Amino acid sequence: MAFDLQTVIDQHFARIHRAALVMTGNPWDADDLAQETFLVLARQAADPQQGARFAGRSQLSTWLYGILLNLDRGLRRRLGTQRQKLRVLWDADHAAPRTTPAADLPSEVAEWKRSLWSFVDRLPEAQRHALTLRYSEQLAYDEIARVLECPLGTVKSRLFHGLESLRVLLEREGEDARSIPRFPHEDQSHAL
Amino acid sequence: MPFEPRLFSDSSGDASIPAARGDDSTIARFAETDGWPPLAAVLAEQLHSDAQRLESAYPPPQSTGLAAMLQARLQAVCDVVAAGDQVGSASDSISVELEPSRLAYPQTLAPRVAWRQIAAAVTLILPTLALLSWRINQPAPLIVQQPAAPLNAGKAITSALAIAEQPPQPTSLYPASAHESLPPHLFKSLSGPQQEAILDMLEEQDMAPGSLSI
Repeated sequence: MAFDLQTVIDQHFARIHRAALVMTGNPWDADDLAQETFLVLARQAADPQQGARFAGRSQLSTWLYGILLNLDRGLRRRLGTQRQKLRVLWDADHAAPRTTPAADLPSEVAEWKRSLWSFVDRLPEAQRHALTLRYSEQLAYDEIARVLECPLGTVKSRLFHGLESLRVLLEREGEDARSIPRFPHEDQSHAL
Repeated sequence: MPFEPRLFSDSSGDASIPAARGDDSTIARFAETDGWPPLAAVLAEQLHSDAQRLESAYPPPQSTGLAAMLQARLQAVCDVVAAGDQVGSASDSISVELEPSRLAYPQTLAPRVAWRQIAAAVTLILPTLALLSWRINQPAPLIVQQPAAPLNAGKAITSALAIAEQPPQPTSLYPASAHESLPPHLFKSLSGPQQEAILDMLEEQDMAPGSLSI
């Protein structure tokens, strides 16, 4: 199916970038992920040998979200491997005091860390993707089902359980925040 | 104490945050949360408003010219694939931005890589086989049984003592004939296990006539 790439980018770039921002937590990775989404689309369109390519049976936005989620999956896998390696290296050198931020921690902007999306980031992938498509992108159930390639009931279930897991996470976080004194040096019993 | 999902309330009082102001007109309603616990609806709305806030804080970059840039990148990929042999060097420049594993060895190059491996294997195996066949065709060394010397006990003891006084000479694990019969440049070009295998085979070959003579 032929389409003008610039027109597609003008129509869909903002929403793909927003979804990428919500998932990655920083604008740099979001830019890369959004650009790569359209690059994959262009590559699929240019190469007729590609197995999976947009055939016009669904909306183009749905197709783009599918590419984005796949790229996000790959990015997380790579980052996870890198973090594991760095952690192994760090564990081997306990004696050295850490004076700089850990290299295995992802860079996230403060606004994202303050938002609920930083908690969504800790949820299982299926719930995370469903919550992103529904509450950030406001896709309908059937559109989400097409993107995630699962039945409608599964989408509803993932959304319900995603919100429930989010509530549990927040409650746990709230309890932890209450149990730690704001200024540890004032609470001498905490040191004992 | 009632549960408050906004753990990180924005203290700056930013007017662009509708949820913080309680402006219900801009808060999205999600129908599915009607039958769910009340907190689910609050969380859903909060997620939506957080996404909007993030989008306004980090708007997407200008997309004008992005298509041309992406098409240039795509063209670069196609050029690399077309160049064939230069994949290794050229993909280094674009692998930072693209997925290297998929670009470095695209489908069209896979048979070419396989042919190179086959050619390399043949180059290694043929000389080895030629060397082995040449060695096998060599006539076996003639072993002549020496007649037993007349018994002379005094002389034998003296020669035995002389031999015992000599310092021990380092001996090779492999027969000397095996080392001598191999062209050194061919032998050195083989890997350790290959050298061992060839020497083992040559050793067995050398042992055979000896055992027959007994």
